[in-house]
Amino acid sequence: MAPFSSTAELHAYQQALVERRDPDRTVIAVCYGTGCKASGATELIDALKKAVQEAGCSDRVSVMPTGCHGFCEGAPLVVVHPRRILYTKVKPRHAADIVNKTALAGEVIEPLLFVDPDTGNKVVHEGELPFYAHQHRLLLGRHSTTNPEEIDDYLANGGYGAWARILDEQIAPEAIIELIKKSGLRGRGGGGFPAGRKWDSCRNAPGEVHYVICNADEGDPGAFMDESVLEGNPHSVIEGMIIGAYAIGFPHSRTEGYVYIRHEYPLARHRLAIALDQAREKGLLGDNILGSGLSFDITVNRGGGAFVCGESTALMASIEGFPGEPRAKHIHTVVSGLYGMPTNLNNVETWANVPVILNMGVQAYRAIGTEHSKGTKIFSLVGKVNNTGLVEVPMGMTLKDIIFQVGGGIRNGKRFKAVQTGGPSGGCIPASLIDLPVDFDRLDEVGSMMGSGGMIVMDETTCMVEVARYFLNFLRSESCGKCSTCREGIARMYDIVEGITRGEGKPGDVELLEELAEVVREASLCALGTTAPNPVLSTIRYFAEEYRAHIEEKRCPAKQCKALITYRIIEDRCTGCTACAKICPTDAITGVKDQVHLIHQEKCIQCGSCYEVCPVDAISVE
Amino acid sequence: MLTFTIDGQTVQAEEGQNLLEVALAHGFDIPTLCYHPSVSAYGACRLCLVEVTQRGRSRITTSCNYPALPGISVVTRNDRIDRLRRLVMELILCRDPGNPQLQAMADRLGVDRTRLRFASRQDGCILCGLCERICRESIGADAISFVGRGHERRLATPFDEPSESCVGCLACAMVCPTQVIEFTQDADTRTIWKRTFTLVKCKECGAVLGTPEELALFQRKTGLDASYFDTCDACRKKQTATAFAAVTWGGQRP
Ligand SMILES: Cc1cc2nc3c(=O)[nH]c(=O)nc-3n(C[C@H](O)[C@H](O)[C@H](O)COP(=O)(O)O)c2cc1C
Ligand code: FES
Repeated sequence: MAPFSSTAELHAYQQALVERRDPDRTVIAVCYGTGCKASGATELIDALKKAVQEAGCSDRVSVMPTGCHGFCEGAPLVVVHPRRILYTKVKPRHAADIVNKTALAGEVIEPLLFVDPDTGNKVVHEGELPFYAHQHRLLLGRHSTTNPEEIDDYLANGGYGAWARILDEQIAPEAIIELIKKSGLRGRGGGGFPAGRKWDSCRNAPGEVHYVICNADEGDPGAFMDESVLEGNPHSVIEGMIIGAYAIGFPHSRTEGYVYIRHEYPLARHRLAIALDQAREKGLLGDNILGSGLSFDITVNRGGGAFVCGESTALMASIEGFPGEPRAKHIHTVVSGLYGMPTNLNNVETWANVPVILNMGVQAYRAIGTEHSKGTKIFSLVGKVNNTGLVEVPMGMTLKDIIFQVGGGIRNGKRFKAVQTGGPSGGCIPASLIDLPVDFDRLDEVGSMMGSGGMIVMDETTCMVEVARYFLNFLRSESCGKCSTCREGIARMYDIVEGITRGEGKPGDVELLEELAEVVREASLCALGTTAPNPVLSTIRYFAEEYRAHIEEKRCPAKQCKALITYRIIEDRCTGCTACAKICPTDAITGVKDQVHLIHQEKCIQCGSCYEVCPVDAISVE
Repeated sequence: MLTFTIDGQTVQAEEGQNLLEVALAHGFDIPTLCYHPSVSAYGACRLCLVEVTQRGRSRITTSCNYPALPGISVVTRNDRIDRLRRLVMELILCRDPGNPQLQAMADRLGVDRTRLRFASRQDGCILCGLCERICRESIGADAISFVGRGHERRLATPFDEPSESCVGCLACAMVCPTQVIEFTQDADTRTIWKRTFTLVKCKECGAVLGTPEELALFQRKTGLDASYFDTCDACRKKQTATAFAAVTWGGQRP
């Protein structure tokens, strides 16, 4: 097919697609996101394809790997269209039944349905899952119905329509910037900078090329928001970038696009490459796109493999082939960025919001969220919460609603203690602030941040000093090492906190940590350093008592710091079953069968194996 | 020319100058460990902190990479800056508390010791990157570079092997603010970064001129005749003076 040379041709094609498509066709959508892949989605897809072959129904039933649906707790997930019957924790051995019973005979397979733990009810349809019901899935909502490797799926759903409308209605680039400003869209990559203002500054900066970059480096451990958007709906990002290029560089400049993508994301890269090829084939990228006069294409760049490469100036240095090291931003990258040219960098999720905003209209978009944070935000909800996964909620939803309604509460009936937001340099928010509405400014106010949307839920068994140590350890290795405050400062804060977890804390340590935090925050070169003290400062602020117990009483209240806990056998409970003595890796437990056993403290390494294995709960931790 | 103030005093600067060079030129005292006027500013040591107020907003920033801008006001010292500089110094001092150059800077800033645990590698290198920049930007040899990240960062030749592009010029060792880049030299050879060079000597007096690689590089860069590098400065001067005298007075001093 020849590339579209006008919006009329695009509309005609879309019309024909819709007419040709049978809305009732049977499609078995298998989530192929991070969680489901780890739980065997690859084997499941193979089994389903084989089952379709064996049933000889490949003309009526297709198997479609999709991007992440979000409900990782139920991985791997299967949704059978058109009825959107949802199956969770599906194994390859279920494949034949799904094809023969559900896809061909419309029968629901009861044992594969999700059971709502609150009501005991079985959930049949995807939309009825409580996990999705409390979300607002502007970006993720299409993932279970879209084949990300098929541009026709995006086009049939009105894809590239926002871009076509701009051309049909001859909306000027400046007017697009105004719309984005009015929408209140703020960058989703961490800083929350107003996207419209950034576009405006970039447009107004002189230069023969204006670069438009998508930041898909996503280096936060455990985060997969951007990965999921690229795997699930790559065209939404491409459409956003085309609109961005038009708004920023047309007609006064040349425009070029880049997607800088984390090197551990082969599937996202693969799907993006397919999407880019298909967009080029259709004339949606390249010279004189749809006859608009805009020429724009996108190059994919593989990330440098370091957390700091996601920082804007480091990212640009890395694209240029230099080491991924940040530089001072006294001259902004919108003025002098990639190759010294005006450069507009936005996060994946920011770009994906652009067509959504233009499609739904600025008014409707502004109605979602809080006064200064509009729209939705995707979070990766992990940790001690029942429903782990990818959630998209309106800005301003309270922590409580996210954790207890969407997330289904704390695992094993434990007590909620804190939630860490914002990635490794975010902060810990205590249970007392559970009613906090989550938006950019409120998270900053309490000493944390939005970051890219990590959310780690912690229960009473989490030691907050250990949490601070964990993140400092990550940051001291991921600091590029260029400036002395970030490199030495984080390393020295780590030393102190690590000492505290080992029972070597001294009076004055907390004050020294606060002093170091100030210099690291105030004097570091890039935002990695200036935010790095957050994990320490927020835990000191809200959990000072835990630091005190570690330092003064050499006691870990959460009973996690090995150097500060002792395992003992409760004599009147021990039955002498010998299980503990058998499992102890250091032979620290002795005793005769059927008699009370003893832990020799000098040999004990506090591994906790005895505690885990004891059938009668006769081991205490202090 | 643009105008702004430093500690209340009005100063003028060229566009493109940084705050540090303007301040130093006007006699203000700002401590630095990673700055050298002949290479680009890098912003690694963080000692050159100042407070800049622009359009009513104040911030602490390093002065070596902050551009001189019209109308800003710069404060080079106050309690906050002093306190932050002392903390920066404590952090840098962890890298080698015994290093005399670092101790001298610490004295100057009023830091008598660091309260922090020392870094695991105490080789005196503070990773200021001056050696790397002088080698790459001024000499053009690009023989050393940073390797590793975070607290494991260090400077090295490629694969820690003797560098092929090193010309043995010693510029790195000379510029090192802590004087820890080791080299040795005897009558005929010079060794640096594990590579040994034979030395070229003045044809007249036998004084050491440098390594052949170094002289070749300078010849290439300056376009001077190769014979220029046969003799040392002093002998060349003497030769010139003799030749000059021959022309002027026919070789006979009056
Ligand atoms: C250490 C560090 C790592 C970062 N990593 C990312 C990242 O992985 N993805 C991202 O979008 N932004 C990252 N950022 C933020 C970027 O510098 C930049 O602000 C962002 O990409 C701009 O896009 P936005 O305005 O759409 O948020 C990082 C910043 C720092 C300081
Ligand atoms: S002299 Fe400015 S940071 Fe070192």
